[in-house]
Amino acid sequence: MTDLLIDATMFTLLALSVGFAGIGVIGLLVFPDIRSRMYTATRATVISICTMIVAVIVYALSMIFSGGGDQYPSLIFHILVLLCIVIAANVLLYRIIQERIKRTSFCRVSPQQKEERE
Amino acid sequence: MINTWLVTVFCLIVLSVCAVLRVIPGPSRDDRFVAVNTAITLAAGAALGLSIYWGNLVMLDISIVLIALCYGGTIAMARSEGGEKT
Repeated sequence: MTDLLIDATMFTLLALSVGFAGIGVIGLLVFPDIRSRMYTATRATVISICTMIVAVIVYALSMIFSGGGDQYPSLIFHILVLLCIVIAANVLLYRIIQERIKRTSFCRVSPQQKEERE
Repeated sequence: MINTWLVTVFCLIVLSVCAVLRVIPGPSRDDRFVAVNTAITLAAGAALGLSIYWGNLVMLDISIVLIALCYGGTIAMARSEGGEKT
C-alpha cells in the first residue's frame, strides 16, 4: 500500500513536471511580446523543475526508509545544490532582461507620447 | 513496462529541443536569452531524471557542472550590452 502511494505520488509529480514544462514552452512559442513570454517561460519551467526535484526527494526518502544505501542522502544534497543553481540563475537572468526591457521601452517613447503623458 | 522516469526524460528533451528551436527566429537578443534559459532549465530536469534512471550520481555531478557553466555563460552574455539593438 505504501509503495503504491509513493509510486502514485511520484507519477503525479512527474506528470505535473512535464505539464508545466509544456506550458512554459507553449508560452515561449505562442505569446506575442517578450514580457509575457519571459514571465510564462521562466516561471513555468522553474515550477516544472521544482516538482521534479520533489519527486526525486520522495523517491530518495522512500529508498532511505526502506533501508537503501548511503547514496540517497547524497542524492538529496546534490539536487538541492542543483535547485539553488537553477533558481539563482533564473532570478538573475530575469532581472537583467527585465531591466533592459524597461530601459529600452522608456527610450522608445515618442515625443508625442511624452507630451500626452505630461 | 514503461519506465516513468524515462518517459519524463524523453518529454523534457523534446520540449528542450523546441525551446532551442525558438532561439532561431529571435527576433531580439532578449528573446534568444529567454529561450536559451528555458532550454537549459528543461535540460537540467532531463539530466536529473536520466541520472535517476541510470542510478548514477556521477552523471548528476557532471550535469550540475555543465548546467552551471551554461547559466554562467548566458548571464555573462546577457550582462554585456553588445552592439546589437534589443
